[in-house]
Amino acid sequence: MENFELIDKFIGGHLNDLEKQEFEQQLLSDPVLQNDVAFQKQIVEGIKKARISEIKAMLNQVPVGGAVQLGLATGKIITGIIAVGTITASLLYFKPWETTLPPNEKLEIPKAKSKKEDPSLNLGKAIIAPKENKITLTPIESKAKKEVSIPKSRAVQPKIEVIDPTEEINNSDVKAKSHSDNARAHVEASHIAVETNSSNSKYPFHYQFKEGKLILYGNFDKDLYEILEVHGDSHAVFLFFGGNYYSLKDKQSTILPLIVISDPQLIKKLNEYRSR
Amino acid sequence: MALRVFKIGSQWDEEEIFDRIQKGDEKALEAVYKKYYRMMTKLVITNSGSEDEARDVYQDALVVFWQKARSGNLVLTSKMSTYIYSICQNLWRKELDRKKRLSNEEKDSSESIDMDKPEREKIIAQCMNQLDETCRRVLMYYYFDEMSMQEIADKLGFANTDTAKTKKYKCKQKLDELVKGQYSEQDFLD
Repeated sequence: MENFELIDKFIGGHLNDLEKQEFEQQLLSDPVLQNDVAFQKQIVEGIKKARISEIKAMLNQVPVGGAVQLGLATGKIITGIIAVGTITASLLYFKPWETTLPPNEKLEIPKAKSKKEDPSLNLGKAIIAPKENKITLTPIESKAKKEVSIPKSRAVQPKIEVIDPTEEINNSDVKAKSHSDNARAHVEASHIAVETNSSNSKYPFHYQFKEGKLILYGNFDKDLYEILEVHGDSHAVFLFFGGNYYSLKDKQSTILPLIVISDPQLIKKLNEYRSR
Repeated sequence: MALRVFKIGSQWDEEEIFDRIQKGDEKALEAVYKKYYRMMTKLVITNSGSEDEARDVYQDALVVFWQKARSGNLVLTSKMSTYIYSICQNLWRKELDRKKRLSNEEKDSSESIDMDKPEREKIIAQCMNQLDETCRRVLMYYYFDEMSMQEIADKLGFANTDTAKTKKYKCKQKLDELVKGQYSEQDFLD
């Protein structure tokens, strides 16, 4: 095609005013050129459509079920953590599956050592355990129970109960308002403050927990990264970057290298959560 | 170990995400898609749209956003979400108008519809699929993403812009031949 480049520029809008004017005049008097332009327009349109289909197919692969709110204040993660801790600690303490409390147990208002340790926090939100408890207690005990929270000896070290993720994954469409449903509502909107530092050549792919923040050392510009925080029998933090998971020791403040996780079962479990 | 995972998205700020989209980073587009999915689809669903329609509109809006950002002419004067939201609104409004018009046309049967167009598009799509991956990329990057020859050379690892230019020319010629082989040129003229 003799006019290939010219037609290409015309369709792409890359001719200057003068060139465009000349081409349009030529177009008016040249039926062959008109055919060529019409044909090329169809082809270019087809190429664009192919690209649009490709982008849309790519977007369709993006998991959106657990759409997240970004840019939340760090406080929200604390709220989420406290809420889960409160719910699970409350469940453990009140044990709604048991019918009575010891008859002579003296109930005292505990003095929480810190905000995080105080299981009475957010009881207004995490109402499931007390409500169930109210049903099972005798009236007198019930009244006393409602006025106070949890004995200090048990409250200081609440054992965060574990919510089995497999059950959640397998029963994601369970309609009942279970305690895990409430917990999920809190935890999905959580956030950890993260900084990246690519200027330190001594640490090409390392991390550090410092002053409540996670610092990632190395070049993290080439891909998205995600932080997965885990509360089960123990607390754990994971980094997902470049298709790999890395375990992060959040109790240590020293700079440590990022080591990729190779345990297939753990990877599978983390993948299930990420894809939700 | 039983797990409770707090799911957290990218830590990129909005300015950085936009910058990456401008540079053609598809991962950044995916992050935006995920981030605003509920907000954008809700707009359609609460305005007589189905979930499928909502997803379609949102994806179309992101395609528009991608193309505008890639062109280098887009300067965001509002939040990115506000901008994308306005595209969704416009697209959904157009779609509702189209539906309404279509409904009236069915009653009137006054306007003729070009029945060959979808068939032609299908043929071109098939011919695109017959090209090798590099050719497909070159043509899509040039004609849709409007990348420069330098960008195409960098992205696809060509030695220089001349190589990219030659490749683009040959690939386009190849596609033209394939399409012509399926249909005579007259079939493509309205």
